[in-house]
This record gives sequence, structure tokens and C-alpha cells, in this order.
Amino acid sequence: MLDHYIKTFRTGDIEAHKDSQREWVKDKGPVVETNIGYVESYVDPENSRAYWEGLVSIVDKEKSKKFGDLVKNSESIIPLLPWEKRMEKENFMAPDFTTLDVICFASNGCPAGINIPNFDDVRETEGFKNVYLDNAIGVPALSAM
Amino acid sequence: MGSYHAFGGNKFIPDLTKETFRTILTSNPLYTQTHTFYREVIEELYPQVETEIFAIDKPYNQIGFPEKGGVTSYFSTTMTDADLNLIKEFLDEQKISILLTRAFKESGGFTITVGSVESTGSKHVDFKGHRFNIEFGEFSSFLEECNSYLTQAKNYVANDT
Repeated sequence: MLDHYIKTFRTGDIEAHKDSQREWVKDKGPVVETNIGYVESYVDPENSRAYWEGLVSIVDKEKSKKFGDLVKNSESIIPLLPWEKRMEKENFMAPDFTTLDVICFASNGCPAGINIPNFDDVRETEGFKNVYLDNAIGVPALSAM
Repeated sequence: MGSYHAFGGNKFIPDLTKETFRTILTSNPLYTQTHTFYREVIEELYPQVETEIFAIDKPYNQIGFPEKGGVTSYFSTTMTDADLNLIKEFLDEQKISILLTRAFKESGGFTITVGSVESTGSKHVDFKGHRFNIEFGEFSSFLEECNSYLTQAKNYVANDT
């Protein structure tokens, strides 16, 4: 993963960044979670050009277990919710879920969670990761700005 | 450009006057020493951005297409929809990802900058009657520093991925 990152930043070749993300999604449930590069494109008026972000975070094992249990039981909990069955997806697939505490999020804003990579061809074949950035939620005033 | 909300792209500015802000900046002890990086930033870079940091009138109040009254530093203020579409078409043809680029309109053509350490691959290409100048190596020094730390990080990885 690091070699692919180094290659993409050295040459500007986005294919190397895709390769880094292919390795990244394979690294399931690491204790230290990171990601870096030109990732999100929310700020470009055309929503095409990306801005830089670099993230270092650590897993909150206790909280991840609690949320993990909730997610594991979600398939039996969801039918109990007080709305009609047709409001839900036909087949609910319990997602992978990790709770992280951010040590550093070097970008123009810190989101409450991330779902990357954004490359559709990587998402479709290799998958993606869902992570919840727990300590970012405590500062909604800052992250919403 | 100043500071903008990440969601919605509205601008926010410091709640004090330019003069007060300058007083704060110049009261840092580093400012009184000569040849510090801090002094260089305040003396040379800050005057270039001061106006925009505090500008809250149009077009500075909103991130958006310059044609529609917004600001962006991803491409020139003179860029039209047609130009932007042409640039996308060109980058697709060149197999360069738009993610890492910025675009500038000049007389007779466009310059596309690509974020990378090396400037290998920079070239001129004629495309549909326009001259395109591709420049690799934008933000080179920052990316080089980043790569040096990524290289050091390789000593501490937990597994092969």
C-alpha cells in the first residue's frame, strides 16, 4: 500500500492510487487505520477535482465490539422497527463497521465517518470500508463548518 | 481564497478588523527576529491573501463557477462551461485523471497542472484546435516531503498490505 502511495505521489499516476486502495480495503480491521491522497472532490464546482486528505486513527476496541454486536443483530432488529416492511430494503446486508478515534485528520474538514475508496471500479470488485469517526462527532460545531 | 464552509461553500471571515488581525500576527516574538520563516510569511505572503481573507462581497462569498458568480482555485476565472467540457474530453483522451489536476486558460490554449513530485511527462499537445500544455510536478515539494515520511513508515507496518 505504501509503495503504491509513494508511486502515485511521485508520478501523478492515479492507477497507482487505485492499487493502494485495493491493498487498503484488503487490510480489514487494523488497529491503526490510515488513508492519504487526493480523495474527495466536494469543493470543486465541477465535483471532479479532489482535495488532499490524510488520516491517522486508532480503533476503539470496546466501542467497536458494542456497535459490532448491534450490526450483527441488525437483521433481527430491523423487522421490529415501527414502520412497514416496504420501507426497508428487501435483503438487508449487515455492513462491516468500525469505530475509530481520530488522531489527525489533515484536510479542510473532519467528517463524522468515511466510506472510501470512491473509485467505482475498486468498490465493485474489491469493496470498500465503512468507518465511524467517534471523536469527530463530539465537535459538531467544528465539523459542520 | 479565504475560509469556506466545507458543506455549502459559504465563506466565513475573522470577526475582527484587518488592523487588529495584523497586530496579532506581528506581536508574535518570531516576527521581531530577522530571517525567520514566520516573518517571511507575514511580510511576503500575507499581504497577497489579506484582501481575500476578509472579502465577503461577491464573488468572494461563495465557492462556485466563476461564470455564475462564485470563486474557485481549481481553474481560471475566465473558464466557460464549454472550456471545462473540452478539458475533460482532453484529459480522458490523455488518460490523465482529473482528480489530481487544476486548469488554467491562457491566450491560445490551456495549461493543465498535475500534482506529483516528478515533472516527467510534461508536454504540449494540440487537441481540437487548442494548444494544451500539460505540466506535471505541481505541489512537488509537499508531495516529496509526504513520500519521505511514507518511506519511513514502511519500517513500522503491521503486515504486507
